[in-house]
Amino acid sequence: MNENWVTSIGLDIGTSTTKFIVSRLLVNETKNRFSLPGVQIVDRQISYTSKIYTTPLKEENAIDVEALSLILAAEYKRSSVKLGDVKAGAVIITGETARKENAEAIIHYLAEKAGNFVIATAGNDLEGILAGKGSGAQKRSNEMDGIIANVDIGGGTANVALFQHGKAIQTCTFHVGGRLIRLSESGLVTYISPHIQPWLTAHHMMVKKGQTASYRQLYAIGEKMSEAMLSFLTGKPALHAELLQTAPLKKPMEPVQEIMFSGGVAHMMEQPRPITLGDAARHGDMGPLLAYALREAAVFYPAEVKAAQETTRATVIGAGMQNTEVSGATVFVDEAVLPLKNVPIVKVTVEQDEVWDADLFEKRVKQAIQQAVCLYEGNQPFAIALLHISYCTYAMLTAIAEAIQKAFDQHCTESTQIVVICESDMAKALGQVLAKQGPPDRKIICLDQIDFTHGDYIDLGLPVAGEAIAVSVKTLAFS
Amino acid sequence: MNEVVDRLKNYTPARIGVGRTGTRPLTKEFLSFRIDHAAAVDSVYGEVAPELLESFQLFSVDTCIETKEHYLTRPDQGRLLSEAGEKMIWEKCVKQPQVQVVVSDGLSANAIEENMADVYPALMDSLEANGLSAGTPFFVKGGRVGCMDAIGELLKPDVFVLLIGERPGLVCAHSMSAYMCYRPRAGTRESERMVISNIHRRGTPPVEAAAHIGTILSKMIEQKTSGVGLVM
Repeated sequence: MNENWVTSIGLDIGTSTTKFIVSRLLVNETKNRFSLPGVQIVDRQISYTSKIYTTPLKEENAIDVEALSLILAAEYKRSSVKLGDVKAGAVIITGETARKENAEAIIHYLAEKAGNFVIATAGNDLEGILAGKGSGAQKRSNEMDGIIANVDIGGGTANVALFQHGKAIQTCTFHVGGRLIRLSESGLVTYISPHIQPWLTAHHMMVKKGQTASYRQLYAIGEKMSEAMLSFLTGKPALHAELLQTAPLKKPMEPVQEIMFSGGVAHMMEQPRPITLGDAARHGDMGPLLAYALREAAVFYPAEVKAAQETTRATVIGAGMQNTEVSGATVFVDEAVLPLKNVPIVKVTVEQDEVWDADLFEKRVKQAIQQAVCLYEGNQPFAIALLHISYCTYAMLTAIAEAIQKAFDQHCTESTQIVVICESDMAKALGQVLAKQGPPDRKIICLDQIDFTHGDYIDLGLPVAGEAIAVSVKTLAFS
Repeated sequence: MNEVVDRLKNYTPARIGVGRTGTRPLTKEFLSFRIDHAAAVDSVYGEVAPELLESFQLFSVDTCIETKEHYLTRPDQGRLLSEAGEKMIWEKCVKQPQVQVVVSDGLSANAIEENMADVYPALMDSLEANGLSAGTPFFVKGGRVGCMDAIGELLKPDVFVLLIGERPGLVCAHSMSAYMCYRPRAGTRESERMVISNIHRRGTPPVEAAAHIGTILSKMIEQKTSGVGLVM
């Protein structure tokens, strides 16, 4: 048994706050002499947490990258982490700051300063899942029957991830957050997010920028917002909940049995009720009132509220500690090609209803690769993700490899590499067949035991133990 | 409650949560037990079809075993080659190959019939991918793991791979093992042998197990040792 510690960092840049953590992941290689080797991340420990910073903004929602870089430089120094040691981790840009311009500026900065293996990523779905991993909701789902929702409420959005038996099964996002309405201490409204206007109008709630809002008015907004979201999560949507959703659901919602709250607003849920308007507006927004209203409303819904292990730092802990996984221990890798970052995942179904049809698969691969070539043009590598394989025979293996090589011969002649990922343990065998069939200058990367259900991009790192390499599956959905 | 039991049952193929009537098992469960037991017996007493061996171009040699009872009661005889077998190997095989591949029914002929089509070609790919060359493969009828020592004395390969049927159980009667050894010879210690076991459809994936053999063999050749002394 070999023990191997990997340093991972997490950085969460949200609408209102920015946090940084350093963690250590213990990669364990099991080499029992009677079976194939196995690699697992067996322990994840936090070794450093920063204080919570206010996200430096230049004007509305544009991140001040210079100020951010100063914070980061200081944090790196304080945590005494050397850039060269950082092997994994994630930077997540969330909420209303998750804009393309911000992301590009930060990615550019990080590429130079934050270590070669750090990924930049954003997107509500992924944030919701990471928060659920950081808050302890995912862990809890392993101990219970039924579904638990982690509701991560920050400044701009509430990112919900549903977990069942340890797996994220659904995500959804609401325009519910502490900073959607910003206030002065006297109750003067300084900002209203345009995202909640339609919902406010539907409820005949007239709050306008420049006007003074009363305690009761603001509390009513917080209360109705909480009730709309909770009614949606417990399976009986009411109060125009759909107007608060950022996007329609991809599949029908399953009612949840338990709810965990994380994020900045969740942190304030433990605090006593704000007495005066000045008290409620102490952060310059409706956050404290929303938190109180949410706590009061949650009692009336049929889902049990569970205390989160982490509230404010749930996302950054999820990003830093939980986002890195390792591939299977028997894989086929041409190390010269690694690391590969931001590789789009192209999903191809292998078996429909456990029926294997080689011709059908060949058509699907061809179609997927043609599409990928159009989308990602030229030499940009993409990863073919094989979906639904019940059992892979050698005959299937050969047919899969032939279909892929053939599609590359026809549509991807410039490409110098083939990247294939799958869930079932077969990558080494498939890689060997691919290598045997293809031209020698076409490099092969074939990895297994990767769960790519909730992501559309993958980062491939370097080997961390034996042949296994560090991977991060992510989304890059900028609004 | 039932859902919990069902979920737990997914973790194991063992007979848990099968129910009962009074103090006795349900008829359905009892029958399935009898079927699995029969399958295990059939695996031990079965024979690998000659057509299968032909399709992989394997010739067949005997050990000193005459009957199945003889095989079960005298493991030592399953480790020795018959005189005719030795002669055939000597005549037909490449001497001192880098890799010697041998297939044997062992305790489960079924294991060979079920897994050969997936394991054998993937093993050949694995040898090729690792730049290894194989000698002349063949089949040993009624073999024990130790028969690799007798063959090693004759052919003197650098490394040896024996694909052999495992002792069947009530969960699986077609599980195969791949035993590997650096320069097997008379007196090889058991600690020098290595194995990937439990190779079957629902166990160690056959194609992946085969694909990994080449990596292990390369390390054996590089380090000139196998078993507990090999650094993986």
